[in-house]
Amino acid sequence: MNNFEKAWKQISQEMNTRDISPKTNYGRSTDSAMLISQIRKKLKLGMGWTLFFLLALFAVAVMHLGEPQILMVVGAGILLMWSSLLASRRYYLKIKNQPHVARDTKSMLIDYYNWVVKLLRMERIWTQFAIPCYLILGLLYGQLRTHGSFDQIVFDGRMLVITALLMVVVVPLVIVWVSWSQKYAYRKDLEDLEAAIEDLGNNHES
Amino acid sequence: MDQRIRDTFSAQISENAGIIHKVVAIYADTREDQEDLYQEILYQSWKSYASFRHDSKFSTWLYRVGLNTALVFRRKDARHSHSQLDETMTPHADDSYESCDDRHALIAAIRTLPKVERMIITLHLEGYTYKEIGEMTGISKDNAGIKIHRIKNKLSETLKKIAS
Repeated sequence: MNNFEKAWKQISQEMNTRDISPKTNYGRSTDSAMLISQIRKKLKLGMGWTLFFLLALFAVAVMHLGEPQILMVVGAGILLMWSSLLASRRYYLKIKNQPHVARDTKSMLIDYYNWVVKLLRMERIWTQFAIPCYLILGLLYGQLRTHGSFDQIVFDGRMLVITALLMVVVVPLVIVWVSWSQKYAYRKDLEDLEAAIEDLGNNHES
Repeated sequence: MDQRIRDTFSAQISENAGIIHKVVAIYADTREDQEDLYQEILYQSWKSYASFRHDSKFSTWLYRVGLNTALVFRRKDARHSHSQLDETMTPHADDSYESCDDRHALIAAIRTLPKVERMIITLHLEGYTYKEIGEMTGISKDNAGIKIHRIKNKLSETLKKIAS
């Protein structure tokens, strides 16, 4: 071990003579280099799209101000979007406000792991719940525009078949795609985090 | 944060620049990754500076931030592996952190370790006690001791391979 320490001292002496680059910018993150930055970016992008669709739904609502039944359907869509936006925002701020790297390593890694897992789970559950809901709302909106009110809607066989097909084909496809893209994007990170937590977690290794 | 805090921070960082260089040296091996990790550690340090309570030395706090940042740092080229000895043994032409001899051999040997072990051995070589290492990493004092013993054995083996 003396050799390690001697070599390390030499390394330290050499490194201590190096200064901080004059181009140093304390306020600039490399952004893509940190897993947490990617999670925040993902959340931000998601919130951007949600906001866009929310505004679009508001525009649709304004177009149908005099039609209470259509407004009800559009309002349900707005409520769904709004709750998604609030949940994402809350999660985003929670992650953003943590001085995560200044804590002990194990807690930081566990938090990191939980954040990623929770975000992915939230996304998966939301997809499974929200897509069928939007599909039904879209269908009702289309029918209300054609027939004028709920009482006059007649669900013909062709439309029911199309709806059923969308439910059994499109919804599972989207769910599979979300799961696959999550796996592709985060599997390595999760494996690394799990391995690091396990490395720190075994207190009585032989 | 006002200018006074920024100046204090800059002065402390300059005094402890060697810590950042060492962390970068053992966690990043391409020029691009080194520059990114270096910048990211500075950024994370500045961002977390408000959490520095002055109850420990700045150098200890900076080690914690630097090593934690390096631990969750994502390399741009995910195909480039740190874990293979053959790759880390070859000094890169543009590698600013290495010179031949024992220092290079030690850094190369440390780079072959898993990320968590690199962190533990770095803290040990810096002279931190098992208790301090335990507090910084979140493991028990005994576990830190066991791990350090095992890592030293691994390093010896790797250095023997390098020497031969």
